Amino acid sequence: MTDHDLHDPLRRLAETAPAPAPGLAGDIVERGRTTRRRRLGAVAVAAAAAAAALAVVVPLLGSSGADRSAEPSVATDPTTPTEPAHPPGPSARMQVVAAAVRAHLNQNYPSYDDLWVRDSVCDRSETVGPGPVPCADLTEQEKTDLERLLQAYTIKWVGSVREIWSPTGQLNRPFVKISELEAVSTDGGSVFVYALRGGRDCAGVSYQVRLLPDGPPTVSPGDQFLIC
Amino acid sequence: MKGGDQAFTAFVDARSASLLRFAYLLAPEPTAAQDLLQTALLRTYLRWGRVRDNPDAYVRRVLVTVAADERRRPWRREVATAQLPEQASSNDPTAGIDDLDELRRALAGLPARQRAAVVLRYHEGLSAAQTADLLGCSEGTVRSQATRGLDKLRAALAPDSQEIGTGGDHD
Repeated sequence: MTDHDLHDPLRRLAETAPAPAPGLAGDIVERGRTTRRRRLGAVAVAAAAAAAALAVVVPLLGSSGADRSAEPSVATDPTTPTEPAHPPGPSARMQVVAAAVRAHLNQNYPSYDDLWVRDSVCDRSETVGPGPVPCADLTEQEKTDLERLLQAYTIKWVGSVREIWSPTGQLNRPFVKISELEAVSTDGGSVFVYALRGGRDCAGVSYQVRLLPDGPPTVSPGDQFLIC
Repeated sequence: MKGGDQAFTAFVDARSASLLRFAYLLAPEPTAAQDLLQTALLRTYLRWGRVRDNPDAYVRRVLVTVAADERRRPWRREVATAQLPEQASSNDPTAGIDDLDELRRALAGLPARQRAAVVLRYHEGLSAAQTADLLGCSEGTVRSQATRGLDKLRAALAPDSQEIGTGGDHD
């Protein structure tokens, strides 16, 4: 058998094939459109998920130590309180928290890498004004994200909410002006300041500061503290 | 209807009969040819923007691939026989190929790649190079596949031949 011998039988066999179904092209186009829609739907879902993830991750990535100088500062713009119109959602809140932490650290802890975060204050569940939310509302994901942020500063996450203090008690910058103080408590001579409002970048973060020996027993908005 | 859809529809209207004949030879069974073609056309539609310059070649490539995939599934695996196909005899077995069903069964008994090589070379009239390009293999592979396929067809179509496999749907 040669190729020439086979060609004619194959041709005859092929000619026994049925005719294409009527409307074949239209059916294919319709199926193709449906397939495309499904694929686009899947892509859209994936893109939305990616965008949602980036919305959280990007601000956190922007908090690396190399970028500290570009971060907003509590002390450089302490007189412009920001009043959120509505309590921020989890991701927005994380951005606020992250910004506040960065600002505080940039300003006050530029050379310290032995900072810790713990939750002794916020576990009391005080409500600290219209913007900040009770600290205990942080989700596990938020804690993870914040911990990742704080790792850029070699800060350990200890508890569920935010309190920043220096184990050595030494801070580089002596003064922090508290433009709006929303809650204050004392604990063994320390003052826990919630919701330091230093412009756009501060809400819901509690800072442990120590009063000067002759400092006021309580603090009020606008008070200045020597952080030592 | 968009321009791309119009062009695709025109292509299908013009070429579907020829493509279905090709699919008919590739398909493991006659009833599978329509499904094979629809699958290939759907893939072509989804990539129309890239393949519209030469959609015919693309459809044929997809047909070969899909046919091979279908035949690669476990339940379609080739079932070996205890007896090897007979060697070619000096008698030309095609001289009496009037029974197209017999030819179809013989074709269906070929592994997918051999079948594709035989159809492309001896029905479509493609060169070894063209077939190799379409199958995504070397010309040498095409030649060996076509030769083996031809040998098996010769054996299967011999007057006292044995079936190559069972069920006519092997790979």
